[in-house]
Amino acid sequence: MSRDTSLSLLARVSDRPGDSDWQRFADLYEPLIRGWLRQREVLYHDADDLVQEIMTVVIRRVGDFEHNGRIGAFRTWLRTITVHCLRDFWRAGKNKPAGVGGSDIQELIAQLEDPASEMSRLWDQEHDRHVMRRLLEMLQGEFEPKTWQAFQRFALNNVPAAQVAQELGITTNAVFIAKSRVLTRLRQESAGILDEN
Amino acid sequence: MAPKTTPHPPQEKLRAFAQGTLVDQEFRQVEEHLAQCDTCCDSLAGEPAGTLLELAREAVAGGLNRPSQPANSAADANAIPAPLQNHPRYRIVEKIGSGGMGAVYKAEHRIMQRTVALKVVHPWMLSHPQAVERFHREVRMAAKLTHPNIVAAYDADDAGELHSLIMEFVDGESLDRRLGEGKVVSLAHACDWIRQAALGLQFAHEQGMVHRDIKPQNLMLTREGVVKILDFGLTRMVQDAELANSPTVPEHATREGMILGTPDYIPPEQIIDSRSADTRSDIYSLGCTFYCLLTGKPPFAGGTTIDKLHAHGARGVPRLEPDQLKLPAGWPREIATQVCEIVRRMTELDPAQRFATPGEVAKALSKVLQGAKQAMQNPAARASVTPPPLPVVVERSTPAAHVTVTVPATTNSLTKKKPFLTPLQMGLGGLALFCGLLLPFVYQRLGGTPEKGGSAIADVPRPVPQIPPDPTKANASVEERAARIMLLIPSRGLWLADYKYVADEVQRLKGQKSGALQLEVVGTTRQPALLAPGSLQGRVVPDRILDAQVRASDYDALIVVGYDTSEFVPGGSFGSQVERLLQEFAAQNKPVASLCAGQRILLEHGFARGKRVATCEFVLPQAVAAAGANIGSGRVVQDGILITATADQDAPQLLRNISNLLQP
Repeated sequence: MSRDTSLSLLARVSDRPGDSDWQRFADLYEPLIRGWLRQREVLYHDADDLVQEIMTVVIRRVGDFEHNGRIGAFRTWLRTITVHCLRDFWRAGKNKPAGVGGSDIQELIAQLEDPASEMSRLWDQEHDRHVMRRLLEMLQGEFEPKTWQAFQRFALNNVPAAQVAQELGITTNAVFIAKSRVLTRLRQESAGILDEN
Repeated sequence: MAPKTTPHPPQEKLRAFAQGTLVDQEFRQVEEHLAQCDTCCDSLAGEPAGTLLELAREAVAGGLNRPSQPANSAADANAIPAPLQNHPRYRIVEKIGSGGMGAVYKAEHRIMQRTVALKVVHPWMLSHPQAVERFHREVRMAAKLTHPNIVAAYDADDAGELHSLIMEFVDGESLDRRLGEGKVVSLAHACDWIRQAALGLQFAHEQGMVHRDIKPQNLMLTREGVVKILDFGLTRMVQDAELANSPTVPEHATREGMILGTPDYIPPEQIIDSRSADTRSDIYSLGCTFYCLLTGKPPFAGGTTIDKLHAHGARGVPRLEPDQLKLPAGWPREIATQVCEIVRRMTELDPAQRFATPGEVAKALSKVLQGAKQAMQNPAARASVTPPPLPVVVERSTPAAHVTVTVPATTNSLTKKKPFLTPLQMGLGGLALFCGLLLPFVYQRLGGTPEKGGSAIADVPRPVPQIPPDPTKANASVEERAARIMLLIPSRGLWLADYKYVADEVQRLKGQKSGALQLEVVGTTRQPALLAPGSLQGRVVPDRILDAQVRASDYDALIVVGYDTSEFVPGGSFGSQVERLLQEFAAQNKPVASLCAGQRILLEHGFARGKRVATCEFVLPQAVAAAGANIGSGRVVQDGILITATADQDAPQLLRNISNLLQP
């Protein structure tokens, strides 16, 4: 298999992506965007159309994304694309009868555009949590069940290493190693889309 | 201490290792050292988690379904009972809630690694052997309810003296939690959620089941916006336990709360005699739930339980006035009137005056939502944006596979995969393919769940076709036995037409004198397969789970399909099982076939090395070359026992090739 797993997902989709890379990228981001849109009452009816428009732009442009070194550059980039798509959507609907949610959408766009707004803060949080959760699900299959369980119990659930070792019938050393293996892989795969504070 | 072979790495390196920032050679060096060195392990224990891990912990813990623990809950209330800690089959991840029935834990099957919710039933509820038997019966009944809007019950499980129900783990929150005290949800959400719950109730109604305790707490909302009804089949058990008047019933399980369901949502007829409850009782409770979503409180908020019970029967649910509803901008006022009317008809005192079935409720709400959508859209203004085509529903039912097919209106042919894009036309390879992945949203309606009567998908479990002995043959010998075909399907990303065309052809052949085939669908979960974007709509539940017991010796041929092949390729969660199977089939010289994107599985396992395969628009020529295979001519290419087909519609030819190979 030619897939180079030492490259992050972002690097792979930016450079000669294979089908599985696109699929993983789509699996990661489409539910996030759709979920976010559906939570906005004013966009509720159009969420499904909008997901399509936003994801099309994301896919077309992701190759041009360059991380500027700031924390959260990718989620900010994604937020900016969403703002642009929402604005296009609002403009396209301008000829609607008066008072059809126009001002609500404008307000929404304004909030999302402002990096300091509560909405942008929630966007960041939702992005990081969702992407992390999905990546963990996606990576699980790459590890032996015991390695994964050791990581989950010790690293995620904070159970003492000695106890995890006993539960799984492995050495404490192996528990530490399992944790590092998964974390290393997680860091590798998420590079560029999840940044550390 | 174990003997050391290498010097201790410096502390910075250990820290980097612990936080996952070392790679390649450096990582391996520390890893090798650590496997032997307890001293370094000890010093690792003191290392801080690092921000990536902190984010992971937060992401895993900070989900929507995190229950807010009551302030006074003692630490031991959340402790996992001893019999569960050492559960032979499930590893308990954490406690996720507790209700009238008992505590609920998130758990993972030790072997299958499937995440489930495990509901431990209070021991007092099952204090008699008959009660346990009853519990198992109820779970069996509940397990028959497989529907997107019902939380699936999988199994009853006994660990020590603890009896539990294993059910689908829903990544989401209950509507009462979503609602919050005194808040209202938007009219669009309320209508859609109640509509979805009604679809679930309609399905249960068709199976002869009544819930008896519909309330916001029993309606789960997933992150994707799907509503799922919780605790089907269990309410009656609670009632029976109560009626048995067990002296061991703890005080907090009040008679009002348990015997009668929940006073805020209980229909009048159920107060008088809970056994008289029918589907219209569920409609009433759902109506009260609707009322609560719209106004922020149940119909008879405040007052004692007795007051509430009296009010349901004597006063009836207060009329909801259109002015009480917060109408979203752009929604015509008559929508509010229609919604009030729907709530009224759901909560009529006399069951005969209510909607007759939950399906009618769903239909009425769909109409409201459609009306709102139309009012929102000015066709002239939106002309530049392709409007989503409304699905045209085609009912297809065969004895072999009850599949209802929903075809997007713009698609002329059932087999046309991408109505407006093909990778070659676009010349954009992956991009166009990706756009194809996005198409389904155009077709999905609100909530993405099927409508009753419309695309109501037949949720009948798909029986394995039984081949009757042919009476025209005097001695049905081994050659006449129906050949058993294993169809391996992915748990997510199934291209339904691949399955359907195979199943249809198998069904058609059943009527023939020779060449009869028997199909067995093998998958990786008991759940209905999640469909690939843009796929025909329908429902396929595997007959069998792929595990070490699935052997080539049980079958005569194997067919693999996609669209998503990630589970089955090397490195995928079932990659090694597939590899084993392929080796077995090859060793036994039995046909191995792929339809469309399924070809990737065979290529990636090196199964097509040196062979000819069919072209497929989802497999790049480079991938074929990389796997050491060559592209042959024709839509179905056979090379030895390997048969590959270009696309779903080639299934009949594929099966003919398999049959020919199987001829003695």
